Amino acid sequence: MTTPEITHAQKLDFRVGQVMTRRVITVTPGTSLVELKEIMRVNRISGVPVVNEDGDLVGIISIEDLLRAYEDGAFHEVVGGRMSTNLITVYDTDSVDTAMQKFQQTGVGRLPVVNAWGELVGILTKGDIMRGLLREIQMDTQDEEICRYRASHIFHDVESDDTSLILRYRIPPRDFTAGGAASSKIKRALMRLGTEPQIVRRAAIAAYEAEMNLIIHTDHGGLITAKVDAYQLTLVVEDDGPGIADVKRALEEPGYTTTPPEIRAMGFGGGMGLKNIRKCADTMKLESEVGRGTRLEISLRLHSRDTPNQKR
Amino acid sequence: MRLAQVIEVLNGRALNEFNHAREVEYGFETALLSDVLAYAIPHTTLIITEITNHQVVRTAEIVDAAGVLFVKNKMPDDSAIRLAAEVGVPLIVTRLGMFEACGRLFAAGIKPARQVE
Repeated sequence: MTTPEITHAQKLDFRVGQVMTRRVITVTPGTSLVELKEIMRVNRISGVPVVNEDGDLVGIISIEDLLRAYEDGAFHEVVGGRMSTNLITVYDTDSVDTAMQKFQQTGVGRLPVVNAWGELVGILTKGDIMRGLLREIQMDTQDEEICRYRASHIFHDVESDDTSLILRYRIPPRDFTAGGAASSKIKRALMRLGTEPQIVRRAAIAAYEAEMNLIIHTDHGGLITAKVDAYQLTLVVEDDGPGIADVKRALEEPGYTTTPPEIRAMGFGGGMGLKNIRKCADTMKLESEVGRGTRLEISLRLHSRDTPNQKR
Repeated sequence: MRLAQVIEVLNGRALNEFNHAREVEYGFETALLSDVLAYAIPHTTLIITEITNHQVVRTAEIVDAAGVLFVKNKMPDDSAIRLAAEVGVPLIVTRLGMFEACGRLFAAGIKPARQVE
C-alpha cells in the first residue's frame, strides 16, 4: 500500500466488481494444450481460468504452465493435468484494497473473481484497477467542475452594475421532517458558486439555526431569503409572529430559551441558536415585536480576507 | 482511523452505503444538536448520539461531519436513512452503550472534538 494510485483506491472505496473485466475467456479441464495456445495467441492473453461444466472455477493456467509443458514434451496433454489448482481468488464484493494486497502478497498477475456462490464472474489485473480508478476520478471531477463552472461564472458572464442571485425558501411551522432542507439547498448553492468551504459551513450553520427557529417557534412559519452577490451572502429570515418578548435576553443570556420541553427532547433549544448565528455571521440585525413578528438579517463576506469568528 | 475501523472496533454495522475509507479523527458525543452546531467541530468528527430523528442527519450534513454513530442499537427510521444516503452522511449503529462506545473509540485513538476549539 505504498503507491499514490493505491491511496486513491482506498479513498474511493472501490469494489472489485466495479473494475474487473467481465468478459472472461475460459477453458475446461478437457481443453487440449494446443487449443489453449491458440486461444492465448488470438486473444493476446497470458492466463486463462479453468471452469467445469457447472461454471465453477477449478483452476487457472498461465503461459508459464504452457512453456513448462512444452519443455516436458507434453504438448498432447489437456489443461486439467497442467493447470494450477492452488487458487487465489477475490470476491466481486471485496474492496480493491484487498485485491491489491493479494497481488502484492502472492505476486500473481491476475486474480479470478468469484461471487458468493463460487461462480466465476470476472478476472482482475492491476491494469483493470488503474483503468477503473482513472475513469472514476475523471467522471467525478468533470461533473463537479462543469456544474461549478456554470454556476460560479454567473457573476462574470451576466453583465450588470450589480448582479445578485436571490433564493427564497418558504418554511412551514412544525415540519420537523423537512427541517433543514432549505439550509441544505443554500449550502449546496454556495458550494456550486465556488465559495470557500469554511464560509459555506458558517453560512449553512447560521441558516440552519434560523430555519429551525422558524419551525420551532413561529405561528405560521416564515420566509428565508438568501441574496448572493460576488462578495457577500445576505440572509433575511422573516415571520409574522409570535415575536420575541425579550430580544436582549434571547441574544445575551446563555441557556435562555423559550423552547417547549418536547422539542428540547429532539435535541434543540438549548438557548444557543441566536448566539450561534451571531458567532457564524459577520453582521447581524434582529428586530422583533410581540404580536407582529421577527426579522433577522445576517451577512457573511464570501472571501476570507478577515478572520471569521468561528474557526474551522 | 477509517470508518471501516470504527465499525470493527464497535462491532457495529453500516446503515447506508458510504465510503468506508472516510477518515475519522474526532468524536463528539451529544444529546443536544444545538451543541454540535455551536462547536466548530472538524469535518473528521464522528457524532455519537442516541438521537435518531431527521435532524441529526441534517445537522451532520450542515457541519460536514464524518458520520453519525447511534449507540444502544437505536435506529433512525427508513426515511431518515434515505435522507442520509441522499445527502451523503454515513450512518453506523452499535449495540454498545454510550460509555463503552466512546471508551473503545478513545482507546483506539479517536480524540475528543470538544477540546479542539
